[in-house]
Amino acid sequence: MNTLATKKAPPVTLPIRYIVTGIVSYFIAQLAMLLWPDKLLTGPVLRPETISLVHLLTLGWASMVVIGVLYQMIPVLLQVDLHREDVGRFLFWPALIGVSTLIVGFRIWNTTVIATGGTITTLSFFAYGWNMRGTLLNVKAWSRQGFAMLAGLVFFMLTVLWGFMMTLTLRFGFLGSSLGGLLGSHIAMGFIGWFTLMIFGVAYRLVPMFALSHGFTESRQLPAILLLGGGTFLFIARAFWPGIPGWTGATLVMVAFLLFALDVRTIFKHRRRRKLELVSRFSAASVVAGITVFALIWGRFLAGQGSWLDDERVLIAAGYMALLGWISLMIVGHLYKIIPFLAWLHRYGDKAGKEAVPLLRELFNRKVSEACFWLLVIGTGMVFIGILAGLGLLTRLSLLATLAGTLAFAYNVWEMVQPKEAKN
Amino acid sequence: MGRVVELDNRGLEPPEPMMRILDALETMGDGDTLVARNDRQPMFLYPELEERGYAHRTEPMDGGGYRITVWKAGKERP
Repeated sequence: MNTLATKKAPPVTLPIRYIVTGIVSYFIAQLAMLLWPDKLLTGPVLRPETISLVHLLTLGWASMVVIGVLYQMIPVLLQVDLHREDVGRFLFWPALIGVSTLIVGFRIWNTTVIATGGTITTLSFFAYGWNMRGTLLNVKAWSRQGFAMLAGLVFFMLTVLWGFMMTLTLRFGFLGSSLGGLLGSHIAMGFIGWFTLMIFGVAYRLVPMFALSHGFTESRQLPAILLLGGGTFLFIARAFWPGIPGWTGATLVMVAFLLFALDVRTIFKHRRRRKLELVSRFSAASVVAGITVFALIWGRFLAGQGSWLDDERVLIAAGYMALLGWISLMIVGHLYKIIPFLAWLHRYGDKAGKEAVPLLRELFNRKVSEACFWLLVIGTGMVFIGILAGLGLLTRLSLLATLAGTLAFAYNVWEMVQPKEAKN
Repeated sequence: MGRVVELDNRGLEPPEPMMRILDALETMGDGDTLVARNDRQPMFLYPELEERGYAHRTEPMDGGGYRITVWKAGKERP
């Protein structure tokens, strides 16, 4: 028997539907930013277009992809069967409808549509959480990385719950004027607790695997995970006790991120694979973007209100770098490895080892992936500078570059899922 | 008939089993065969083996785990 399809991992159609939805959202978001009038790039932050765009990126792109990848990775990384694969398959549809309705609701600013979309989104993501709870209850051996993923999922549920309360408040006003406090912790939970903690957990596992690295120190991993979770918790506590200074949480998070960055560097130093693959280069760029963002957040809370770091423009630049730099570059890089791997296993897994099959790297166009890398990385950095310095033309041109990079990425994803002939 | 190199990777966390297998292959001659015992199927290893021109076979073992046999493609099947 030589079947490579492990019985733990679900068939490719489950994760791929979430991943494809994510990539479509990513493209629409890049296009929307390019078509935006200049005034949106200078603030104010809280307006229908921005809120809609942020949720297109966080829910439509990042959350969809992470959900899809976790359906694939949790069974493999934590050696456990999915609780209900059929439920995961079905839940895709209410999640898609809920998230789309919510994003449209924000854009047209109709509180009934927002509350409706919010309710469907909440129900479907809570059902996802229930499905994951059933899966994780069967895990026998817990690792640091598994713990980080679990904590990330808990923060995801809290973020959704907070968002749900806010959409109901918008529609029915039941929480009165406390929306501001909720918003701060909603952002902290989502950005730091859900995405950043989840990336820590997944990256601590996958970065060494892809770089073929072993023998590096792992002693900083648990402190980094705990500090990040603790920092998020302090940000949440501020919603209830506003007396807690913001710099406390920000400092924990900053230290956690520096430990993580140091770890990634150490993993690369211990790598066996001489040439840094695309996934590793994207990860490095993403970590640099992350340091920039967390340093800005830290500085903002240290300097207090009224400093130049409190400026709307800095806020937008930091938000852009957080979503399109830290989170997106990490995801794009890992998808360059994960999608070909899933497609390869799906198409050639049973033939591999017995007859000639295409190689992993032959599944997509290398020239296009190089262009994609540079357009996205340089473009994102230049957009950040453009927003910060208030240079409208630079921002527009750089947004055009990132859109081209996204197109290159979408083209390569299309290539990855096409059948190929073996060359050897 | 070449040597048979045996490797016990049970109890090791990824990516160590995969790296030990790739390391062992570098020390082997063309006619040699590698037999590794792993707790899990080394999913990320298979594309690496293809890339390096190896044929391979994976069998579940009694009592859990997998036996992975690797040899140079085009050579006689062990």
